[in-house]
Amino acid sequence: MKLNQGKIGRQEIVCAVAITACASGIFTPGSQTLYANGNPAYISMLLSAGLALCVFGLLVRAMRRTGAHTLWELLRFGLGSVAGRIAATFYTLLFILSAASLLSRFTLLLGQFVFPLTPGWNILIYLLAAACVPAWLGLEGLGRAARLLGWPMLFSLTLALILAAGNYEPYRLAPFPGDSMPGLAGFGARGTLFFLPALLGLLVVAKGAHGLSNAGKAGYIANAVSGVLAAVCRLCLGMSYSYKDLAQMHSPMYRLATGFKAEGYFSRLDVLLVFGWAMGGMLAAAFYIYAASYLYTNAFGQEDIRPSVAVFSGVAGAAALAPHLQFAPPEAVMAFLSAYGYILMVAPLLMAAMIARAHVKRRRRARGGAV
Amino acid sequence: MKKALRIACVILSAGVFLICAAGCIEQKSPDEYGYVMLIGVDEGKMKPFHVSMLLQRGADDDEGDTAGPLIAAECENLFEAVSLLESGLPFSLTLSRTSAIVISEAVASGGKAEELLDVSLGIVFIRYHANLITAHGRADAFLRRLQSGLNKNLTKLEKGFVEFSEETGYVPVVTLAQFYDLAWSGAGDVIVPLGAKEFADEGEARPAKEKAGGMANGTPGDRNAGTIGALAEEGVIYAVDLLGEDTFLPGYMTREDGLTGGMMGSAVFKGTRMVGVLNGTHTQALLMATGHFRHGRMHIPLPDGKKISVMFTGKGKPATTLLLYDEPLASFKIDIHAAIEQPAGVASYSRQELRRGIEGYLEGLLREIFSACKAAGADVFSLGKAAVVQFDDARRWEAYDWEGAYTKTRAKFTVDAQIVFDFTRSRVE
Repeated sequence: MKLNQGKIGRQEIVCAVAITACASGIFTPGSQTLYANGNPAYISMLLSAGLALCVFGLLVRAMRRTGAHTLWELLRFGLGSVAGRIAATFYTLLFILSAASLLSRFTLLLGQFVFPLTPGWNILIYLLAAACVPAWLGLEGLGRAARLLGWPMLFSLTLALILAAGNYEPYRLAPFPGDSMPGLAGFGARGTLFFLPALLGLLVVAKGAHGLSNAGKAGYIANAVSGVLAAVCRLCLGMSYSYKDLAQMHSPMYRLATGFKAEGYFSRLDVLLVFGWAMGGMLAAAFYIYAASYLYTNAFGQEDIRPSVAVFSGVAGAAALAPHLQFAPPEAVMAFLSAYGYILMVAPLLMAAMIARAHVKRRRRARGGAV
Repeated sequence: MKKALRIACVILSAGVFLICAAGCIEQKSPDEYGYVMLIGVDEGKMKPFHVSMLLQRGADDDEGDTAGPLIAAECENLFEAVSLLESGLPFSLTLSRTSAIVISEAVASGGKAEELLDVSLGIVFIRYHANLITAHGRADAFLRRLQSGLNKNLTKLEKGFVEFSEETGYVPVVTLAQFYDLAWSGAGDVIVPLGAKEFADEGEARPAKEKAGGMANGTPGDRNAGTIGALAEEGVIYAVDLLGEDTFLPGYMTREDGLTGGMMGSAVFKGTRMVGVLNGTHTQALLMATGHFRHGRMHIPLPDGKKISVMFTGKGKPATTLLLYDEPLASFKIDIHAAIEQPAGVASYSRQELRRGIEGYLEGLLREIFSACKAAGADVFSLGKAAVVQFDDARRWEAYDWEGAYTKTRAKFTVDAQIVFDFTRSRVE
């Protein structure tokens, strides 16, 4: 088997998952929906991270009870081989789409603000190479790169937030909270789409993170870090721009970086910061591509992960390029996925976890009866 | 052999990648760029806009007594302006160092600022922290007046302008980000620094002053609010129309030499449309009420007709409350330091008398500015910020007619001046 997995410690896996969840939570949400009803995104981000953590906790518990070491084993145990493979294919697609949305966002950002004369596909090729190579090198390479880049990325993010502090005005968060409680809960639930895939990716590669117990702890830490960071970024954005303004921005973090009040040295720091963020984004895309390939390889009994990495990188690149070539899926489909995607994502997992636990209970009862 | 070939391939690919990524292909050196420092926007004759750009080039030449060349083109938008201008230049233009956009009065009062600025400025690399200025008259004329031997390095212009604002309060500082924010959020309106050519050309009259008649036309604040509202609908109303005061306005100051273009006072905006002009003193008072005032000198009239020079220093944000009744009631409490700069001249007044006099003057001035701006529909005191925080649902706030409520708002100003006779507090010292 050539799975390029290796073994990585808790710091490495925490950094990899936190960077992935952070990148998804900060850069991929669409502003138009997020700020349609006021400025409560910083609250809904915390809710989303909390809900993702609950689902992750349930899955870890179910895996521990059933003795499953990876997500694939839980799916197979709970849903059976055929339904398990269908579910695994669905999650493979979810990881690919998560990677594609990051690639697409950064292509748009760099294309609009840094390389306006360069066609989107040209930028995407560079980004795709940056995502594909770490995924090809495997979990060990990914984890070590994440550990190495984790602090600089945290620094670039916090530096942007600190330098932009001169523009913060709390009144911009008003009306407070901005949306009704059911509305906030709805946004919180939808937001799990940004945090849960990273945690699912962790469960997929749990063996490489020294087992489920270590992966569970790493997941809790990474999710807490990414949830708080994403919420802080949204809070700072909310204090910098009104929700009406934010709803029209496709890259609000970049706008934040171009509005530093300090004259002189920091006035054009935005480009440097964007490259820091892009590195984090591509590392996150690599993690998704690797998780997709690993899950697919496991589910369909492949010996070598590298063909899957190559193919899924290509698919993610094509999916990322589609919106730039006006091949976006119909709006009704996107609206449906945005509104109910989290149910589609969570339902098979919960079903597999519940059935698997029921199996275990039945088996224990049967053993007890025999005794 | 196979391993060596592999290493060679990796090194070669990395080399090609780095060459492409590091910009070694089609590289450009700094002297192949023209750095646009100021952009002026006027109405065009054939096309909607006449965009002029003041460049930071040519300052080092021996003959050059100018800051750099001024280039201009008529265009539909900023993108077209850059393309058209580059067609006649031996270098590329870069807008990444633009420190200010100057919009002419005609463009601003026609509401066309929105049309021009409603593009993602990041695409043309203009940073959102660039300043916004309104020019009394034409913007290109104002830019031409900034070309001077005194002003060879335009990069320092922005710094000097911000310092001038902080030290005097005669002009506000408004960035594009702030303009976007207030103009489109509905939580208030902006005042934008007002620039103009400072001295009339030889033989040229000063039409605005003659038209308005200056102070002779009435005492401050006695204008009818309905008349001001009607004037605002028609176009720009001047400080003279608003408050019967035309001192401290660019073009009306009798100073000589220096740059022939200057900045003083502010243009009042309602949303993205300019509706009026405030002079330097009004701007100082307004900045005190909005918490943006740092230092500034005012000449306060005393009961015996004398004027004394007082250096004010802001003491942080004023306390603003707004009660949203049918007729909303706003109250401002402003704390300020007032250093008397000519103590000998006020020896006949007690400290209490002086304090009451200064506080009364500022409160009266603020009341007048508030009524005038309210009549023009401009929420320059940013009461919208105090209104929006009283809502808990964005939909309910959007359904609320704040613009209508603002026109019925009454305001109460309380100034608490801490009088200081210490010479060392004086900025002159």
